[in-house]
Amino acid sequence: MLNQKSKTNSIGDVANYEFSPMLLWRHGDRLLLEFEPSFDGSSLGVNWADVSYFFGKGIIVRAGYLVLPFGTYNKRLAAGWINKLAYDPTSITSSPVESDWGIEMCGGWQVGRQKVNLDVALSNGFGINNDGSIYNPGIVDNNLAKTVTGRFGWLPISNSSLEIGVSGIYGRAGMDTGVNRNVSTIMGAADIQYIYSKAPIAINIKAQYNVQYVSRMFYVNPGDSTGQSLFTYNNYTQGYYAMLSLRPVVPNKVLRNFELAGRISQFETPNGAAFETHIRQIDVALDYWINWRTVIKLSYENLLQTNPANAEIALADSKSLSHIIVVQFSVQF
Amino acid sequence: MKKIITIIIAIAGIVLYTTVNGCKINQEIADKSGAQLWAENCRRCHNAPDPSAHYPENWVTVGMHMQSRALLTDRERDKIVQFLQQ
Ligand code: HEC
Repeated sequence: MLNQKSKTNSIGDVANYEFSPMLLWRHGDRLLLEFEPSFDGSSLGVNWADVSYFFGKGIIVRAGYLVLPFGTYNKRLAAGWINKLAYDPTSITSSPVESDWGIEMCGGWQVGRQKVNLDVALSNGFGINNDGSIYNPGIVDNNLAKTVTGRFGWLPISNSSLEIGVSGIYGRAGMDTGVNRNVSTIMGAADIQYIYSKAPIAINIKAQYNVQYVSRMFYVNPGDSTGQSLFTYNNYTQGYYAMLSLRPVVPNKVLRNFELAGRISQFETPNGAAFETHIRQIDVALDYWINWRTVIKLSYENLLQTNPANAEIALADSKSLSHIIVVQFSVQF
Repeated sequence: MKKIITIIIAIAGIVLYTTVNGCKINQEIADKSGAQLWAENCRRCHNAPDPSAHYPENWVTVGMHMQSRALLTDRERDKIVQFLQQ
């Protein structure tokens, strides 16, 4: 039964823009400062701001407000001119894992014909809301515990065309005192990237699967106005995205600038939670590359969100479906 | 959870095996040119920029920046920067 149902059709307009100039400053050949502010028309933010030291032997040490090494999307693919679709995948945008204050060590090495890489960070980590959802406290941590994030990447083919990665996060999310002080969060991700390019076609595959688990605790029942009764559920969230793109590798100077991309993404919050939701996002785009870092995307998105009813905490169900067609212009600078 | 742990152990096993098996720097790989390394690595995430996209001194900065994103080896970074600076 549906209590609420909405459908929208909209055409994107030029009022939707984001401006994120990237600033790099290098001192000698060992020190690099990176800063990326972002402005979306109403709010000014910082995507990352960190300093890296290049140790040699492939090792890089970094400190500041850094992109957590969890999966590959945020760190490697999130820029508008890199993403071949108009929007980011819901499995990524709905996750609290993004940038955090901390220190990081990473590097890549040749091992015979293969390559491996490792990226480990220690950061402030996550906090937990009264309903069991997780948030990012930022520079003022909610507790004394630090969170460990790590990714291991493996490039088994000598031409670097395939990379497979596994990532994990572990940290205590509860406050330092109170009943929920021992609540911790464990997350895992698996990612894959594959490129193939040989006339007449170039193929690009990218995918990432995420899981997030919060250890058991009791939450205040939002359906009880006295705030006395508690309830619990398995706090298990998951999501994924998978992207495929095709681009002709042909002598024709116009045809070879086109690229066709498709992506599916899904995000599911825990069954029984007050914030339970299921999102399915399908994107298709026809891109035209003006040069290596400038693209025009004609993109379609189909987004279905369902929130099931929950009698225990007096929640009604709802469902919404939207179709969005947008023309997006993206350039790196 | 058990399944995930089994998968992780299996992956670690394969990686360890291949690591031990190939711990010498392979000649064929050591001989790769900067141009080849550029073609293989610089289009993994985005379109590869041509040498003409930046002034030569900027390529050192880009090389460091991209090494930190792609986790390139030092050797790959140096050879690619050299190629792009020509
Ligand atoms: C692992 C993914 C990845 C690989 C591989 C990669 N890049 Fe990038 N590149 C990025 C991302 C992400 C950005 C956007 C800036 C950022 O997020 O830091 C970027 C931005 C750039 C820029 C514009 C910003 C700048 O630094 O001036 C240049 C130029 C560039 N890359 C060159 C290269 C070259 C050359 C290579 C080959 C060595 C390469 N990239 C390989 C992910 C990658």
